[in-house]
Amino acid sequence: MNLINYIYILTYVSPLILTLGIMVGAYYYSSLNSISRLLLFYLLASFIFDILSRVIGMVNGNNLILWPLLGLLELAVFSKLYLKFIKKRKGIWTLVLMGIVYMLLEIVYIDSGNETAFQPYSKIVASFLVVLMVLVYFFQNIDSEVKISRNKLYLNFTILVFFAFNLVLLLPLNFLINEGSDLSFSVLLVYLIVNLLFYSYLIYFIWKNGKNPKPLLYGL
Amino acid sequence: MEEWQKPETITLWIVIIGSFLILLLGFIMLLVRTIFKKIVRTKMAESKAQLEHQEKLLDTTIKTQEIERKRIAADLHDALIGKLTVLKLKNQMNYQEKDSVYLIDDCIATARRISHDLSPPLLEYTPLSELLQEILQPWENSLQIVCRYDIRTNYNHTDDFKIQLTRIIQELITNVSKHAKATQISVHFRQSQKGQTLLLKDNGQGFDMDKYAKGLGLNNIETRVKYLQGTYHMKSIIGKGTSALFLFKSSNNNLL
Repeated sequence: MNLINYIYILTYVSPLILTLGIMVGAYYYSSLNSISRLLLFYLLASFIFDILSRVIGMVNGNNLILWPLLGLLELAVFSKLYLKFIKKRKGIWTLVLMGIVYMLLEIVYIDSGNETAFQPYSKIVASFLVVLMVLVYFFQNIDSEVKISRNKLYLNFTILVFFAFNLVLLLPLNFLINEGSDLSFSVLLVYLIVNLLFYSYLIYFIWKNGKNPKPLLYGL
Repeated sequence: MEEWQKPETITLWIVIIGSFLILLLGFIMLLVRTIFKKIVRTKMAESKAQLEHQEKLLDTTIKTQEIERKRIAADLHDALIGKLTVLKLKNQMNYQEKDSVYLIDDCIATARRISHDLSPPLLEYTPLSELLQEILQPWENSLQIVCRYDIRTNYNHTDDFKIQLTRIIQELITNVSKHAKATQISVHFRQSQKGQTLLLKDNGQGFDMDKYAKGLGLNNIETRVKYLQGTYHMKSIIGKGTSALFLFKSSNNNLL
């Protein structure tokens, strides 16, 4: 079995983990706070994207059209999460709106059928903006000396690391799609593992919140 | 030609990675600056609080000095001068040697008491444990005093140390006598290689620490403990009594 086979098998872990997360979220739904509910929605949307990508891949031959849509989803979810807690949000709002406009244009104009020319930047823009929002949020808390609980600190840190990885790993997407070398498969494998770890942490966060529901005192 | 092989694509990727790095570096720099600002702010607040505290202690010292002067003046006026005036009048009106001698003895005893109050006699030659007994003795009529001395190591106490500790105990016992309505005081004094501890406990009514923590008496005690480079911890439970623990770490030069 070579690397491709391993990656292929590992891709099936993703919907399983997401299903588990949705079940955990649904079980504790009534005691979840707004953050956990939003993360649950993100897991649900990711699960739908996972299934859709497999179906569209089988029908169309490629599922690249979903790539910019996934970026849009991520930006929508995480900007909703952070813009609620960032105080000076005017500048960030403008950037997010510009990002959304760019993504919509990319969705409309990109030719997902032409794999050799397919190089979207939606996910890069989304990752960049999410990282920016996390950093602004961190800075805001440090500056105003507001104590962040350990759970929330870990959640923010996980989001920061995940989107920083996303940005760096997925920037050369065209290379990853077209260059069938071990290097590109290794990068995809790392991306897959990072995704699985991210989903697992979100599930753990939702489970912990559902098990010990606490009022949201200091924001995210 | 695939997209990733085009020079403009690679340039764009480098620009994106560069921007990302600049964002991270900018954040780190801002963070460092904020943390430094915060440290400076905290240190300034700490210094200010310390300065205020020192000013308060100085104020307490001055006030205590004044109170002590008033007390000595009252002692001299009420006890000694009163008795000397009586003696003078008796001598002027009807001299009787027996009465005069009795009154002179009484005056000498009063003067001695005032003098002892100001500075215990033979301070230099009296061990601390004996000195403590002497301080506590006058109170034994009104309070049941349980003493325990645990002397494991001998110390060469300075006169200053002895007098300051004496004042602390006098202050505490005066407080107990005046306000605590206690019937019993236990005193535990321990001298060991590590240091000296003094624990005073009473079974009185206790007091609200938050309300009286800034009082003159407690500030006075704090000033003296700081002067002796010691630490103290006071605990009071309403209805159960008060305990005060003093710790003075040993330094090699005062160990015998």
